[in-house]
Amino acid sequence: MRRSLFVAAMLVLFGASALAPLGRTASAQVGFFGSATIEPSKETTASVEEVIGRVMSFDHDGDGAVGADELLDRMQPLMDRGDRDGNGRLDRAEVRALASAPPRSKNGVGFPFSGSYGFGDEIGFSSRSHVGGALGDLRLDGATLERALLVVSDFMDALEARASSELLEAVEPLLTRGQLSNFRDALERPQPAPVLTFRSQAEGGNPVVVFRGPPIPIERRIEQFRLAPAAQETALAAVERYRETTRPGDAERPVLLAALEGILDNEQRENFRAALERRPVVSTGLPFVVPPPPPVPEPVNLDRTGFRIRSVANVASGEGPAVVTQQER
Amino acid sequence: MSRRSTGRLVLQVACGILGAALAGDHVAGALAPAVDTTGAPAERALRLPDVPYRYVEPALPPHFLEALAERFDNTPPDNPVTDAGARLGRVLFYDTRLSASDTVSCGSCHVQARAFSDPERFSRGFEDGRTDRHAMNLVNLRYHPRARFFWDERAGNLEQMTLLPIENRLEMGQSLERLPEVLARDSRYPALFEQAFGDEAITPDRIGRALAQFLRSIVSYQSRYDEGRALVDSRADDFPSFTHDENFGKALFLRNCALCHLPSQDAHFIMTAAANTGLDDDTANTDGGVGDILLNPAELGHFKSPGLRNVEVTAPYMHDGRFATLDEVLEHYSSGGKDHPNKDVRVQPLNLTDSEKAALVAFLRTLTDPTFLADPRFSDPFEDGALRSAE
Repeated sequence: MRRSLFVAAMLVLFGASALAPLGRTASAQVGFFGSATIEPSKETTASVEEVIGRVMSFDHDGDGAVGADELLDRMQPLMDRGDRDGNGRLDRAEVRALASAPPRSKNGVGFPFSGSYGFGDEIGFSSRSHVGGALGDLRLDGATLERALLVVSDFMDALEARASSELLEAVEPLLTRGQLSNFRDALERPQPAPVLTFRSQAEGGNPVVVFRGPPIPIERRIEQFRLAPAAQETALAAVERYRETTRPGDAERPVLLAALEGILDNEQRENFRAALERRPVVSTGLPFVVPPPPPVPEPVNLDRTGFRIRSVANVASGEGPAVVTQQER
Repeated sequence: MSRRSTGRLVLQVACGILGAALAGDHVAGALAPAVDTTGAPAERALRLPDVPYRYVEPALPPHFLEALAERFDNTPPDNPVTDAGARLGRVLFYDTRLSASDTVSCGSCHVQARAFSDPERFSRGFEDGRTDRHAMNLVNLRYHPRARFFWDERAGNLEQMTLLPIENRLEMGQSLERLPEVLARDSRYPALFEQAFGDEAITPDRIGRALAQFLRSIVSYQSRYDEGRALVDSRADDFPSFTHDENFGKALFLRNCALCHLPSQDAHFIMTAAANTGLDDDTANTDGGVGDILLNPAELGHFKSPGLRNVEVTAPYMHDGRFATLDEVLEHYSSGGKDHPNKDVRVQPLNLTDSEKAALVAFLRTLTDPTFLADPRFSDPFEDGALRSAE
C-alpha cells in the first residue's frame, strides 16, 4: 500500500518535472560502480555423482566401466591417473576417487586475476549510479542528457528519501540515541558524488564522468554497533529493505520512463527500460593496483543534479558523453 | 610419381616462380623444390622473402603497451619470438607433412582469412574424420595470460599445444617420433632449423617451439577499435571515428560484457579463465570441457573462451560451433542461457532489445582487422597450398 502511494506521488511529481524548462546546458552522464569486495554469489556446483555420470556416459558396451578405447582421445590421461587396479578400465569407484580429489586448475604463468563476482546491488553499490549509468550508455546528445539526468536525479532523490525514512523508523527502537545519531549521519551524509569532467571539445575530448568508489556499506555501520543478535538481525533486515526500496522496481520503472517521455524517444526509453531491469555484476576482487586518476581542477558544484563538475568548457557540445570509473580508468 | 602429378608440379613451379617475381618475392635458392629422384613425395615450392619478415616487436598501439596489458603476454623466457623462429613456424604451420597422410596442415583448419578459425563447424581430419569441436581461432594467443589452451585448457603452454593436434588420432595422426625424420628428408628444413635454433637438428621440441613462436607472432592490433582507442583518453569516451550505433554498442559492451571479455585493460578481448556460460544443462551427455579433463565437479561444462578480435569472421561460434551468427550468440546471452549447476554468476539474462543487439554487433564488427587477415607474414608460403587443400 505504501509502495502504491509512493508510486502515485512519483507520477504526480515527475509528470511535471520532466517537462520543466531547464536553465542550464550542461552535458553529463552517470556511470559504473567503484570497487568493493564481496563473496561470490555462486553457491552450488555440479556434484561428484554428476562427474561419475559424465564419465560413465562413455560406457558404450554397458559393462559398468569405461575402457581406454571408449574414452575420447583428449580424455586418455584419465586412464593413467585413475586406473588403480591396472585393468585398463575405469570403474565408478575409480572415477569417484578422481572426482573427489581433482587436481587444481593450473594458473599458467601465475597471472594474478582471480574470479569472484557478485551483484552490485547486493553489496551496497548505489542504485543511483546504476540508473545514471544506464542513461549514459544511451549516448544521448548533451542537451538531451542533461534534461534526462535532472529527471533521473529527482526521481532517485525521492526514492532514497523514502527509503531512508523507512529505515530510520525501523532501526530507531534498536539503537541508543548516540547510535541512532551516528547512523543517521552516515545514512544522510552525501554519498561520494560522481564527478563530471568536461574536456574542451577544442582539445578533442568528450565530456566524461568519473565515479568515486561507493560509500562504506551501511550494513557495516550496523555491525559496528555490536547489537544483540536478534536486534542486529532485525536491523540488517531493515537495511535489506532499504536496498530494495532504493532500487527502481517493477512499479517504479514505468514512472521514471513516463517522466522521460518527451525527452527520450520510444527506442531510447525502451533501451533504458531494458538496462534498468538488468542487475549489474561486478568484480569482487582487486587483484592488481590500478594507477590513480590524473589530477583534475577544483570542482564546481552543480546542485540540482547532485553531480560535481570539475571544469566546464564547451559543455553544450552536443557530443555524446562517456563514462569513466576509477576502477576502469 | 604419376604423369599427372609431374605435370602439375611443373606447372606449380612455373606459376610459383612467375607469381613470386610479380610479388617481389622469389623462390629462395636453398628453398627451391628438389628434383624427385627417389620416389619420395615431392617437395612443394616455398616462397619466402629474401629478407625475412619481421615478426619481433610489432608496432603495437599504446593500449597494448600499458603495464597491465603487457602482463597478459605469455611468452616464456626460453622461447622468445625471433624472425627466423617464426618463419620456420610459419612453414611448419602450413606443411601437410605434419599429418600422417600428408593431406592436412595446421592451416587446413585454421584459415587466415577466418582469423585462423575453421569456417566449417567441425574440422576434417587426416583420414576424413570429423572433430567433435569447432577449431578455435588463433588470434593473439600470445596474450592469453594463463597460457592454458584448447577449449578444455588441457595444454599448459603454446609449445605443448602445438604438438597435440599432430599426434591426435583424428586430426593429424602423425607420430612425433617419425616427424623429424619426415621433415629431414626435405633439403630445405635443416637450413631453416639452423637459422632458428643454431644447428640443423630437427626435434619434436624444436617443432613445438617454432610453431609456438609463429603463433605468438600472430597479433591483431589494427582494427577500427584500435584506431578509435588511440584517439581518446579512455575507452569509455566516445570514439570520434565510430558511428553512434558503434559507440552505443561499445557502451553496452563495457557495461555488460567487458567484465569477462575486456578485463581491466583496453587491448585484450580475452577471458582470463574458462567458464560455464550455460550452453547446456545436461551434465552427463554434453561436452564437459575442462571438467572432462580434471574431473573437478566445479569445472564441469567450463570452456575456454576465444578472444573476440575479428569475431565477425570466426563463425560458427562456441566450442561446438552451434551458433552460426553473432545474432545467435547475443540471443544466448540475452536469454541468460540454461541452468547448468556450474553456470557462471556473470551470465545473467540481459534481455537485450533489438536495437541493443544491433549496436553490440556493430561494435563487435569494429574489432575486425583487415590488415591482419591478409598479412602476408601469416599466409601459406607453399606455392601449391590452395591446390593441395583442394585435393
